[in-house]
Amino acid sequence: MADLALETTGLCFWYQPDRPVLQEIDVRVPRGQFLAIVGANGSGKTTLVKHFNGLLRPGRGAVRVYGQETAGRNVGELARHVGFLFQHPEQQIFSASIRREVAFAPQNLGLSSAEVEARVDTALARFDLGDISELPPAILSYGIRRQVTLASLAAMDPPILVLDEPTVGLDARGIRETFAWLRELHASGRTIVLVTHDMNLVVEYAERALILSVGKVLGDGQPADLFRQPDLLARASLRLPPVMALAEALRPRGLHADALTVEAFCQAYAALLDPPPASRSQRQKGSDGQGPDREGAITQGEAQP
Amino acid sequence: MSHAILVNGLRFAYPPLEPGGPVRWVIDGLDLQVRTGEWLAVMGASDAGKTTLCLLLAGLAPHLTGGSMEGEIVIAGKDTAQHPPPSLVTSVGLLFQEPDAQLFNADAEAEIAWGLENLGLPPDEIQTRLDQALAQFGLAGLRHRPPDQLSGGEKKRLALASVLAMEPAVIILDEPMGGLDPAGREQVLAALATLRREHSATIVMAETDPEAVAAFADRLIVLERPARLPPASDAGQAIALDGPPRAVFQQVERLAALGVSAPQLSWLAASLNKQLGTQFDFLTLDEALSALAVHLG
Amino acid sequence: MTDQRLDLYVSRDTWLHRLDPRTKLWAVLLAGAVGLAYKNLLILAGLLLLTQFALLLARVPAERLRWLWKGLAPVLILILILQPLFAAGPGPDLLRLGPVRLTVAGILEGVSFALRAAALAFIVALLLSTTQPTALVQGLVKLGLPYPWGLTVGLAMRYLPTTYGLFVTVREAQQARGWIVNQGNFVARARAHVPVLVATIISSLRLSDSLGLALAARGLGYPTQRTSLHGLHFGTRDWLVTVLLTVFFGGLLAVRLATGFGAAPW
Repeated sequence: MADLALETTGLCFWYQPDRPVLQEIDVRVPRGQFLAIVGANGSGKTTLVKHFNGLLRPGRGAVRVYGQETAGRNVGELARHVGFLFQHPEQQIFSASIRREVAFAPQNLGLSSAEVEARVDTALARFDLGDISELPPAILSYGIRRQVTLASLAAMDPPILVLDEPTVGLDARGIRETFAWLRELHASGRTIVLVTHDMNLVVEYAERALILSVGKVLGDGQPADLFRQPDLLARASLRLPPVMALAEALRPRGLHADALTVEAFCQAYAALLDPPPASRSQRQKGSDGQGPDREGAITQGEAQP
Repeated sequence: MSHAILVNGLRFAYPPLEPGGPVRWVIDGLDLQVRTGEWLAVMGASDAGKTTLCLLLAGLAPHLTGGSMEGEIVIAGKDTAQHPPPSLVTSVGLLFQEPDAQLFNADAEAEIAWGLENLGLPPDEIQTRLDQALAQFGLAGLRHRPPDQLSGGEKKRLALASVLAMEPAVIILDEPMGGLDPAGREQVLAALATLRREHSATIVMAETDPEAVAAFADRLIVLERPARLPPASDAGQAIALDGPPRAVFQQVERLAALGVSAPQLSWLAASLNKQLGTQFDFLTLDEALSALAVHLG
Repeated sequence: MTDQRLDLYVSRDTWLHRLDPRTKLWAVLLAGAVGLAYKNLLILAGLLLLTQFALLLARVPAERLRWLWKGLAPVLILILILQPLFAAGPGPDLLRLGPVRLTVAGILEGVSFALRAAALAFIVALLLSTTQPTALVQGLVKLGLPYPWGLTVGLAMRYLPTTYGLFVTVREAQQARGWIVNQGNFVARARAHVPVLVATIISSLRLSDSLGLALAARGLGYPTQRTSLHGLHFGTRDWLVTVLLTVFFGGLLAVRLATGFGAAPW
């Protein structure tokens, strides 16, 4: 199974013996998948993903990165394969200049100074930080500091990225820019694991969603399928975003929404008003800014056996 | 007093990074009148100056932050330039964005009591207000809990209770919904509902979360970064949009350009209107359901 | 959620907890003075045992005691090793390695210092375990400390767990960026901690900036005399304890100063 980026088998974890945080988690993440992990607070989402770069070690069971167990490998070494963005990433900033901050990770990975320079330049250019690269990041605006943390992650160029609630604290533009970048990474074959409580993001970007509840996997599959099961979501203490909830409520009236975005709803609603003959209804582009249009098929996620 | 807040020609810049360096106006020409009892929401991109405006209205800037200010702010009848922060405490309260920075006592009880002790209130008055605040925001069970052991939602509720116990005439909320998980959001929304129901203060709420704005605000203004504006702009430069939330949220594309999230249902209404020529303006799930049900016939 | 063990106060309802903080502060002063004045092993060991007994009386959980001992152990071991080696006393050598002499007197001095360090640490731990930070600050202020100083003490105690939590978070973030700590000698490792320490300090400074504004926003500096929700009550039990401790520890101090007894470990 060398084309599995990440894998856990029988993963159990606890801080105190009588209170398990993760119970018998089995997850297989194929290379290049965009996986979202959702669940209420305390469901174990962050605990689970911290195993992927070795910050936490299984109490029982195994965690594998590209087929090799994380046991015995330290976090710094696993950072070559797994890049991690924490909640409140701006707390990690310490350098005297943006350039040095962005160079920190590639330097730690032992790259040649030429390679480090190249990566830093690319990352700075990608996030529009070239003009101010000599300024100390700590005193700059919040938005810029968040950009610096993304650039720092970009400079690591890891094949697998784990992001823990990356949109907390960002405004609409920040969210758009972050996810535009994640889309690029995904398109170039990177594996992305996104922990989030924003269901809209899951529907918009993820190929597969894992629903955690009290340390167990409650659901695993395509977001569209999972989010059509209100009892599942209720058990996981998840709330549907308004448009999805509306679609559910109008289902008895004959509304068939295949996907769960604003555009999909509009299509489905229009179809409901003038039921078409045999032909399909027109595909309409949605309004600007809500998110990029869906293009192409969503690839199958690996289902839970 | 018909207007709780009067702002005239406000301009503000933080001290430059280097002495004598370039001055960057964070607020550049703001005029605002807020009626007593009104709930005003302020939205804008992350660098549009929402937090700075909150600090200015609370009289903390420029007194404690440094920087240059032009124009005037009169809050509950007091000119902030003439009144240093401690003396504004009964006129205006501020809920900060970061809960850890404003929960600085050993437990919830001490936290709510602290501000009242500063005011020199007699102990039984403090006890009464304390018990009331704990009850109102469902914090009675957390009375002796240290702040580090509180969840995000609990922290925000406690901070709000502490500010309200001071009974200020004007309350400024800086992103009360920020950084919360869904459970925390529910708690804070409930707390804001309590605020609306039980208190008659004038409220200014800086927010990025459209749901809270749609649920509580009487009026919504959207701030714009001064640098972005064309040079020949009318009066009220820093305010790009102003009106009841329902009306402002309908302009979804303008809002997106300003870096502000409109409620998802507003997007839906706008898309449906564009596609079907309808006139939907729903903001909540219930409104949308009724409107569409009626439309479907 | 941060490490709960860094909340030093243990919430129980024992008579020790109910004592006025001023009583306890006086007790700390007296006991600390005895601990510093005496080198006699028996006295110091007795003092240490007294603190353990008092902690048990205060119903501090055994797990907390173990944690305190675990934290102290490296320091105590260091003292036990270094003191005899670097300040050998008079008397015959047990061992000699170049200029370094090991004597019985030296070892006894080492034990004495270790006992003293442990006793003093546990005296303070006893105070902090049985006194709520708010009450402690109140006690200090009642004894004459200006309120802003008392507030600073309270804030330091309140934000200790927060700062530690921040340190842990930052360390994890830097590790995730390839930062490896357990390499090289002590100096190299210390320097390697710069990314974690600087980042923690920066975030703490930001927090303290906001904290200053928040304090002002809720009335610090309001032009009135500050009141207190819970007043301090110096009751009969407090008088009793104060008198007993003054007699006991004061007596010990008097003996030490007058007769010179206890100036040596043995």
